[in-house]
Amino acid sequence: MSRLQRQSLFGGAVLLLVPVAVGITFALKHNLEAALGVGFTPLALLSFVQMTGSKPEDPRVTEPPGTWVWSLRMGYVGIVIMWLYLEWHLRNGFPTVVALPCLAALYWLHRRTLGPAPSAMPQYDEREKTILTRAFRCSAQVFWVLFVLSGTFLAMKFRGQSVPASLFLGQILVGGWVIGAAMCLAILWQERRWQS
Amino acid sequence: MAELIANRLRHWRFTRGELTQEELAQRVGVTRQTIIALEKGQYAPSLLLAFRLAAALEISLEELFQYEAAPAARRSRAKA
Repeated sequence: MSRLQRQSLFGGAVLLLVPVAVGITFALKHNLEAALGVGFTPLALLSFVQMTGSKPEDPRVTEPPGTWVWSLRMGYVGIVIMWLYLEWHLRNGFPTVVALPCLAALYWLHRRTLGPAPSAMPQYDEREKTILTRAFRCSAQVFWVLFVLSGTFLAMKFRGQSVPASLFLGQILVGGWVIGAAMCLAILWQERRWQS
Repeated sequence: MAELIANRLRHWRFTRGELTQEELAQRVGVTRQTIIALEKGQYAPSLLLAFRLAAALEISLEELFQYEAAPAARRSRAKA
């Protein structure tokens, strides 16, 4: 089994937990924002897994990620959980709706400037990069089709009324989930085709 | 029939000290799965990787890779 297959299966397993967690939380609390927040928090944890290193010539590099990177990641997850806690107990959905995408954007921007953490795994090679590029293209196409369809559906359903903010949050979160799931499937399909 | 880049990677890997796929992969900086895909002819490498493979096996590029044109492409080239 190639490392792309291992990573996709791991990612797929985490992604499968999301609808289960959303379903259970919604059944318990009957609160869509809280259910989406709790269900999608594990996705942030996926970024903790470093897939490749930055030094292909030395695959034995095992330095841990810098304190900066860990603080930021822990901060992101901590704040998300705190907002969820507040939302859950104070019955105020607005902070969650605003905080999640803002924090995600902030985290992403900082993540890029901090650079990749060293890892025991070497960089992806050209065949793996080809697979990842095709998988990303495929997932982006699936995402935009679903995004347009869901937007059209919402526009028709709430014609003349204000759309609840949690639905936009749901669109963003579900969109992220769709991208992840489509990427995992596309990677597994391509690897299977190449190895058969 | 499509155009094809055939290779004799497996032959040369055994000729050059019976290298394993893993050893060759480490020498050229790719994964073992990429070497498997190359040997099966399912993946056409970049020019850089092709040169790296030839250098690792100490042979020329022509000895390692052969270009097989599709019949239609061959006919049009013959006319020209």
